[in-house]
Amino acid sequence: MVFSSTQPALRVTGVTKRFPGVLALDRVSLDLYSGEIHSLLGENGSGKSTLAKVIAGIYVPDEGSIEVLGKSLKPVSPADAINHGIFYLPQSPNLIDKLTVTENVLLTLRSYGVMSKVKEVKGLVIREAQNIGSPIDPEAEVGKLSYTQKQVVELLKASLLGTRILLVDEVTTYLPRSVREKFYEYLNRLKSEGKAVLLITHKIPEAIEVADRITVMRSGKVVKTLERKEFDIGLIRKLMFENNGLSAYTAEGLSVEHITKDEKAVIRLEDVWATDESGNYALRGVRISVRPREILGIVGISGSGQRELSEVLIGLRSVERGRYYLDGVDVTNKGSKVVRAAGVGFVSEVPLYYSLSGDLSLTENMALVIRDGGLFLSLKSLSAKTREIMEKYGIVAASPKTQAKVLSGGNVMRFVIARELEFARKALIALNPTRSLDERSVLSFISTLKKRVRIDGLSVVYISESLDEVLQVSDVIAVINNGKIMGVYDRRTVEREVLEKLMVM
Amino acid sequence: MGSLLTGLVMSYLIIWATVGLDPLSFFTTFYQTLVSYTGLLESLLFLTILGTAISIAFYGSYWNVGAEGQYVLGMLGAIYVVMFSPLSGFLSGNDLVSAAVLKLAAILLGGALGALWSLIPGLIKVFTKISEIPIMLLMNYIAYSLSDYLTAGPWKGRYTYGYIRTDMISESARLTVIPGLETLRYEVVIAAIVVLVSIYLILDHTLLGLKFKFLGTNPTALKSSGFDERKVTVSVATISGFIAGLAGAMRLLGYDYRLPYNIGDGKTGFYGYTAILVAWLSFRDIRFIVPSAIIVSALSSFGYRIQMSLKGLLPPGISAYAFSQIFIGTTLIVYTLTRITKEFSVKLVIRR
Repeated sequence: MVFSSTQPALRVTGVTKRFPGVLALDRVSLDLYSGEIHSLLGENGSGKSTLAKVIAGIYVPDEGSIEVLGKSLKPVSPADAINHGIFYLPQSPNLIDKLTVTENVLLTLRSYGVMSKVKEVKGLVIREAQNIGSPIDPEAEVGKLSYTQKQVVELLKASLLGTRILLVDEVTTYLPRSVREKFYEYLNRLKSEGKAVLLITHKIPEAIEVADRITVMRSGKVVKTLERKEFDIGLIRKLMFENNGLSAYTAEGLSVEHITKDEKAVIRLEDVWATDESGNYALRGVRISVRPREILGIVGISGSGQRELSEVLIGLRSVERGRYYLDGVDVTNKGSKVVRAAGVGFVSEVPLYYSLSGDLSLTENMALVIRDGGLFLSLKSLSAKTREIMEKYGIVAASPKTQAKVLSGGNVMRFVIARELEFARKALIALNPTRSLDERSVLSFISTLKKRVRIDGLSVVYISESLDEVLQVSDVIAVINNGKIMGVYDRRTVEREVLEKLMVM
Repeated sequence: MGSLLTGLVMSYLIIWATVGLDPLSFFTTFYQTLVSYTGLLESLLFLTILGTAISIAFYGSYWNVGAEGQYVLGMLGAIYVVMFSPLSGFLSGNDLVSAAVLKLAAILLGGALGALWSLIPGLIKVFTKISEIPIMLLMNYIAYSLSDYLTAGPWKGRYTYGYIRTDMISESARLTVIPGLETLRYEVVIAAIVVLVSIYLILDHTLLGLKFKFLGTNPTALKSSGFDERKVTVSVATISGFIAGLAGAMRLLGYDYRLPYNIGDGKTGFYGYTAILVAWLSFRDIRFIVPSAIIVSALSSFGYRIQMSLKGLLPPGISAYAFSQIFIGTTLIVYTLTRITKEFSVKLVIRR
């Protein structure tokens, strides 16, 4: 490991941050050196993002100090941090969709008095994008860019502001493998230029792969900082989860009994065509069928029609052509009411868009789907029910009255999973359900899901961009590419390479 | 409360700086407004009912700026029942029961017409995705014209001393004056309480209320949970319009007793518009409707009184009405800012 100096680029000492009812950071200390990639690892809600936001001036700490190159920094706003060379790369890009790439970059640069000429900035955008290894059209409207490209725009801003310390908050979670590797390359380049990178993640393999050092956080505290030679997946797991029953969640031995093929399909799509918002066909003649006690995994690279497929299945999107049968009944374009009434659960990658209202309480969000029936709501029993589910699924929140948006991303996801698993009687539609979950929550989810499948005979459509996950979960695997089902395979006999090929064909 | 006083002082400073009204008469007027609470109570009750109507619509992201029109339709419904419907003939007897039935029928038809008036833009919204706001604003004028057409045409009165207006409704069809509080009517007080309490219960204790809240905060979650967003919009529009119509009907039966011509010329007191202010001021929280209605009715009444004190002080061409508006506006801005800063903690940082 090569550190350019013994003085850390960033030193955090004894930082404490409280939120109502939660101690988010408990006397956290951390050193970040120039020329290193330092990974901040921890499960959902362990305080990683809070720490990054404190450093970036988004939150003001209650106690403790922050030093940049030996000089004390008291950030009261993100601008303070930026003026000290700190840039926070958030999970969801902070860009204005209606403006072009250049305009977005210009807006940021102007507010820090760096640059003001459109032409100059345009040139810089082109050059820097080349540098990052992801060329981008400076005139493109940001709203039309892909997620990856938006993050490139954020990186452009970081680079043009002369960032010395880059805080990367779970950005790689959403990136496909190939792009992720490019991104790691870029981080390594920054490192060789003597910059410091704090990589926040809940994925152990990712941390081990890129980081020089790993700091593990748990319940708002720093557990330990490990040097590269100490990296060990077992040890890290232990530090992260403190053996919180992790062993109970190994996904082995939960395989689902084989079901004879002649049993009637629960979910059946026949030659389904559907368009996306801009009127282009996102699904082109999709045919799938899922039997009881079966998990159908649908895998494909991002943007292959997965979102539209899940929306058709839950009844949010109407189809142009083809039929949708649920338990043998034709429910084509009958809307979500019929689908939900049949007992179909729905878990999506963006719970605050598809499933919850962030402004309403957990109880209210629970009550929308799980009711005692009738036109009147008994708040008391609903609140008790919510509390029970929160305990059962280990959801961290002050109370059932807490607004959904106050919860951490992982907890929001777990809450929706809990609600939908409790609700689902017949089937469950899952769209990238594990995106914002840590390893333990993923295993716990998959294990509960498999139990529900085995015991209650649930049928599951499991749509994911992660081939590993689909291989781990499914009984039958289908590949989706450009809105078409490229092939359907038995999990036990299919070769990984076959699926990979179909995904990128 | 402190913020209200600040707003009051600030608006006084503006008025003082422009026309030099002495503080004594300004604050005496304010005091008098508060003391003569019976006048306040009257507008407070109507603003509470209408404010609740608009608030529930706002909960479901249904921007009911058409309460004014629905209110007028409520008046039409009420006067039709007590004067022109077959019912009025049957029940013209003086016995209490038939009078009560007549009044109830009048109020219900008023509510139903208000609901219908709100349902039209509601249906247009869900089936064509055209915003309800401009349609409702236009429909307010249609309501005025409809009323004027009836007043000057088929419903024109015979005993009006030459004025264009309807006849007065019979004594037995009028709402009951509360002895000692001549500006109040029993039925209106009861209606305000019933409306407020039932909307509160609907919002917090029924599935319908939950659906309204989701419609207003995340309609996609509502849809993905198996509900038809369009049906919920239609029901919120209906309920809101019904309550506004109810208010109009009670106004006619309890206070106006007849329809005037040129009703759009301020003869409704613009309650339907003023109540929008009440709904906004309550920050979509049903518990703040009454306090907001108190604030708004006190301010309007004070604004009206201050016009009197300003007479003679104003330069030509500037109306006293403008000053009362300045006063209401300033006070409400200060109040709103204070509430926002309380809720969201705004931080001011001085940078070098």
